[in-house]
Amino acid sequence: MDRTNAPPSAETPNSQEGTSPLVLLKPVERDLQQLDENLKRLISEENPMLMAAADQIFGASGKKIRPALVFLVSHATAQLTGLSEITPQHRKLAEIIEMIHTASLIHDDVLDDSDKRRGKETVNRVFGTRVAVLAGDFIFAQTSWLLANLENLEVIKLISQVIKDFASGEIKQTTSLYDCDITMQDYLRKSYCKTASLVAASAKGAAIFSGTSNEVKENMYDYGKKLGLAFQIVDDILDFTRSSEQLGKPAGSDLRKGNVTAPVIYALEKQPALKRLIQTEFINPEDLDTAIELVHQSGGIERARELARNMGDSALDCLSCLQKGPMRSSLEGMVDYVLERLH
Amino acid sequence: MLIMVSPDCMVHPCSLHCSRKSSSLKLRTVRSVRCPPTVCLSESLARESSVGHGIDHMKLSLRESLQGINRGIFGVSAAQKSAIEHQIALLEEQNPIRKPTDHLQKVEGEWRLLYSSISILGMKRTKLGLRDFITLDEFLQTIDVDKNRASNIIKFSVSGLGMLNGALTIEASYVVSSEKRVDIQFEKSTIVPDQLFKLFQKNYDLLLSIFNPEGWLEITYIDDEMRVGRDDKGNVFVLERTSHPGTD
Repeated sequence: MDRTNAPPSAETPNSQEGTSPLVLLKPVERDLQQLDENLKRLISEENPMLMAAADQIFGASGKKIRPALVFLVSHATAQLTGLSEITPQHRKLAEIIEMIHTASLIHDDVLDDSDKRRGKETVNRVFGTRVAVLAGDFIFAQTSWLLANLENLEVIKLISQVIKDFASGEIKQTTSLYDCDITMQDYLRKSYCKTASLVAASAKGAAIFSGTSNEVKENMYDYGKKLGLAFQIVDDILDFTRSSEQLGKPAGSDLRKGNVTAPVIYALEKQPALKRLIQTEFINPEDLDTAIELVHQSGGIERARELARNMGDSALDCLSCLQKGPMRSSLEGMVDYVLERLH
Repeated sequence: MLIMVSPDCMVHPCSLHCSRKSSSLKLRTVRSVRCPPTVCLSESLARESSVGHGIDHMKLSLRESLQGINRGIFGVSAAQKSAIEHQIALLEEQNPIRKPTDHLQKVEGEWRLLYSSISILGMKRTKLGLRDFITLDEFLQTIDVDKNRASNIIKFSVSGLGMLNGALTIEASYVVSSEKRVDIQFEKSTIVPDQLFKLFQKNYDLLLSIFNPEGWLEITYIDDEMRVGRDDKGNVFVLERTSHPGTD
């Protein structure tokens, strides 16, 4: 059923070669399929209204990178502690992680009034704001209960912290819109809350259920954290480098809303003119384009790319405690995949 | 532009000033000046009535250009700002009372802010919660000429807390320092109710720094319904009376 003991095959991803997500997720394909089925059943069993929304919510269109990371770390750390296969707790953890991620996206779409998510219409668009808010709440509540049922205090604390961090991150962002004095440290802290916290907790949680040493647990946490931060930095870069069609929203929309990200923080060091444009909230029609141009010209984007690459390299270092094999290769490939989105 | 005049009078069209930036032109009835046919219309009278029409149009134009910009408090594009300030300048040229501090009774009473060049943007706006959470309602100013005092009242409403309404009141005193100018001294500020104060508590100094009238103020235009002022920080203010004096 699972692939922990599967011999290396032609399907084993080599991190030097293809880093398409599908190739990377091959070793945990079955795990992900089962997760999909479980989640849909979980949500529709409760309420017919949510059953209608279940497809929109847990549709196949999501790449399921987060639960995939849980499975990959689960298998990789299980190898270290001699487990023959991953445990039901590992599987539940993956489901919980995907639920938290999905609930936060549903609420984000309400807050941003978004019509589309991953090429499909959003829950709020199809079913309205009320259903979207209730669905998000329901899913968060379910995760609390499922988490408690795992009866592992360390994991409970770890994951509860994530939900707390999500909310903190959003509030932090709202209270620092158009703040040109934001430091790189502030930015990384906010990015941690928004994105990396979940990934770090996922990886560490998987190690906990494998019963690894503390050293491995911390390495997995660091891997997840750095991978998550790299992912967020890349996302923030793409807001400047991708065109509106590719992004699904106008370019520079982070900046437009006053969300000051890594490329802009770097650019502000070199281009004082940018500060005025941000402080006046791009009041003139040409201001936003001028600001984006300044960010490009100042080398802010290149420096942010370097930051992401360093973060990625640092994440790779954390994997050295794992046995070489398809699982570790996929985890290494994840770093490349995250960074490759830069091209 | 249509002017209705009594058959007794003539108006010189060339003495009419009017800046029309708006495309929609509203018909205004103007006072028709009656004069005995023997005297006919003295030039100054003609100019006064024609300028009167001109001023009315200027004020109308100005009001139209101020539509929908929330008194400029959250920023106005450079192009719009320049157009507005041009209109203000034209109005100031027609100031009927050249030495306003000799006629300070004209500013007595309650005024409402229509526009100012003061803007609250960027991090200031974020810190004060004026983005989604707290709304700026009316700005009123009450001047008590006998006591040489002025009160600025800035009203707020907070949607989240069950439509909480409140106000920041800044009291100041002034002394006349020239025929156009008064020097203003900050006296005190209060915020009501308490919940509103708590919301602004962390950023109270910031709030005051934006609305503090201390410095000097020149009255550059004053009539029965509108006033324009300029302060020592390069700001311009356009206000209207909240209750109009009895119309003729």
